[in-house]
Amino acid sequence: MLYITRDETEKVILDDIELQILKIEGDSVRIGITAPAHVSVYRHEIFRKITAANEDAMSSNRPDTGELSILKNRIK
Amino acid sequence: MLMELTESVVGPLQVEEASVIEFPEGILGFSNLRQFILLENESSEPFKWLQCVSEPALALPVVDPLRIFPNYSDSPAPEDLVSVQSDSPADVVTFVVAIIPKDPLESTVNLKAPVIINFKKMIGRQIILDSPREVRTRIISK
Repeated sequence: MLYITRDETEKVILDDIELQILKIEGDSVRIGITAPAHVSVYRHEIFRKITAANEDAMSSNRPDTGELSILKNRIK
Repeated sequence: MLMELTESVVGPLQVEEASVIEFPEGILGFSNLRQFILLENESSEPFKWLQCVSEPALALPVVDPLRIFPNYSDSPAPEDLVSVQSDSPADVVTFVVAIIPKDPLESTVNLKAPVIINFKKMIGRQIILDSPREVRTRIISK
């Protein structure tokens, strides 16, 4: 990992992505991100949760097991 | 043109190429999975299956959120619509991804990251809503 120390208002450039340290307040740092539209920006912990949920969705009970009917009957 | 899937969530399948939905960014955490078809299966209703084309063993159950939560009112942000080449929410269908575990009564849906599909362009994307929503919301409350 590369470590860089930055003060408030200073920036880091990653190719065509610009990160700016906007504000440092106690334990939090506010970061401004300027990036092309095709770049997706995610909060790490939310991204991880969603990835894990997608993984679990893929190992869902299959329609042929017949067990879905238990759930269906409760929905409508 | 017909494509042959050796397996799918409903067994071997022939698919019209025109029914393939492109997910240019894949689904979250699986950026390599870019082509899906939406399989409807009577025994699964109201759940449908987002069946991966390149990896036929992979499929995610999805459901119209209104079928489970009649008051569902989340809508995609304008930039999310642009990402599926749409300028009107009317062109876009929203699904939520479900997790159906061994005990189906423990099933959850992901309200934080719904899947939107523009069927006019056959483009889809899994978006992340800004509003505070749970990634695992129980379908049947305890």
